[in-house]
Amino acid sequence: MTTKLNLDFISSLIEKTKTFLFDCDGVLWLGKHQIDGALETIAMLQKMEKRLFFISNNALSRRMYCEKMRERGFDVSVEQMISSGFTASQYFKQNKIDNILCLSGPGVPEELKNQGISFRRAEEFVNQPFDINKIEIDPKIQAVLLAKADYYTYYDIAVISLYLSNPKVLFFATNNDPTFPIGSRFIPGCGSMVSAVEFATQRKATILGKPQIHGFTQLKQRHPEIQKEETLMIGDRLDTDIQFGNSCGIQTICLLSGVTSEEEIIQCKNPELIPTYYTETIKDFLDEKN
Amino acid sequence: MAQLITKKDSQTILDSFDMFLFDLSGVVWSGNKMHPGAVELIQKLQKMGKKVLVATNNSSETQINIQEKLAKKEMNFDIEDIYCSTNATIDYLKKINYQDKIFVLGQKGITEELEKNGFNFITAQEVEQQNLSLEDVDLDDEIGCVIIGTDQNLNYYQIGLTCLYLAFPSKKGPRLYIAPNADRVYPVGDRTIPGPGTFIAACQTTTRRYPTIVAKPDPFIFQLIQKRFPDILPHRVCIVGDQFDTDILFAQNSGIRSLCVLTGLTSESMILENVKSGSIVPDFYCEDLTCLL
Repeated sequence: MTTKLNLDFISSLIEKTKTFLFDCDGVLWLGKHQIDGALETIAMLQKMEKRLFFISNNALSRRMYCEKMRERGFDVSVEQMISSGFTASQYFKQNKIDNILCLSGPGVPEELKNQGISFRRAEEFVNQPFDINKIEIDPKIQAVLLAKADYYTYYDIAVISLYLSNPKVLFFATNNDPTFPIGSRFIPGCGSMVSAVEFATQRKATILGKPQIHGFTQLKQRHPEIQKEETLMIGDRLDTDIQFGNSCGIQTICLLSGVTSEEEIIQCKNPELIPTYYTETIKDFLDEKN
Repeated sequence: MAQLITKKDSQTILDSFDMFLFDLSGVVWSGNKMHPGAVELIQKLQKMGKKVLVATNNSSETQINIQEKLAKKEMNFDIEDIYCSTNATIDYLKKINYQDKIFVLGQKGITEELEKNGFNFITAQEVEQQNLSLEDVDLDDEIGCVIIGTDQNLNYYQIGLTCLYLAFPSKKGPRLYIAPNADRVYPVGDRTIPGPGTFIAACQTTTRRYPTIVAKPDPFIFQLIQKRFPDILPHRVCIVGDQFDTDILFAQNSGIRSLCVLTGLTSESMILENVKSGSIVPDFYCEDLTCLL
């Protein structure tokens, strides 16, 4: 059962919470447009000395993500960023997977490099004229990683599928989001590319970003002082942010400023996707007295 | 059901059918690799006076390309005896009397045929050359139909554009969505390359839409064949193919029979597993086509 937050209750919720995890798109901003109250809320929580982290399925590196946030006026540091590329790289390091074939934008290679993981990019194997039978497989590659790429080609998909025809090569993706909002439209998210490869290879990808909990598990390893009971996840998407928070065993707030409507929340039958609380926007966190 | 055919069965099999439909990829060839017995069998059947037709799903080729490729390997076919998904798509558009503009994710094959038949269309590649972002590009309201074909030149931008046309209706309403075929992969030599089914899946995840498929397994092509040969008896027609979800399913949907050759994407163990589980199986199967010589 979910509860619509009333403004009095929010104050006491903020009081009890020591660690806040924020999704960004649809919570702090919507595309190019900053959401009213976002900057003030983050500043207020920082003044209250709360621990703040920003967890995104975006495959930018933490450094790039931090820059983006600072450009928007948020006073944040790299250590507060949890991007899916960073989560994937940490996962590989911890599981001793140190040779990757990736199809991604520039953020993922930066994080892989930071962790000392060897990688090659799908495009390196694309020969011209294209001949799948002349491609030499690099036997050192242990896993494939898919992340949202602003540009990929048919040949990249062919190369990735070729590597995955070997069942020993593991199959990972940063996230499975079917769409990516831009302005009043949406375009294919990483999930679209994942579906293409899953269909071609008849294999299922292991997702490392939300709603999987790796990002939170790794965070607690870096910050053992974080307690589930004092942590709150704030997001706008039921099947990534809220499912993630629920799976981590932490309380969740769904904001209506992004992709989810009040109707969807009320009608939701899947307990994994029902937020603990919901409210209109982040501005509701601001105490009028502040 | 799923009877293994060897040389001793060849005369019985040949006598059972008046018409044979041949799939090409995985049956006659896989890229440059020729499969044993295929050329000789086609020549033999033609000599015996059987009606021999080609029914292929590849949508990057036209009837003329295919006729030329076959002739180079000593298989001679009249143009009308080659059924490929590109030409079937044109037949389908004519059947539904489609008159408006078309958006095509694809090149060669389908675009040549659309041009030849006087259809008004624009390709994803042409729109890409306008250099506008997916956020800013104008969606042409004249476009009432999206065709998703085979295109090795496709990329993320073109898929994104296709999704925009599928997800956002024109003033007249949602656009028609057609695919010549939805093959998952094509065999090339010993490996495979992604087929259009892969990109149909990509668009389906983003837009939740699935196209009308014109070629196998849809029985549309057999309906075209029956129109040409009204006296043909479906149980005396056999498709020679290599895939469950195109060739064998097409046979079931059309009421004809099927011979699955193990030179393509299907193995004997896959057939036996399907027998056990009660899933789709061919009427007959064989190692390769030398068994019918």
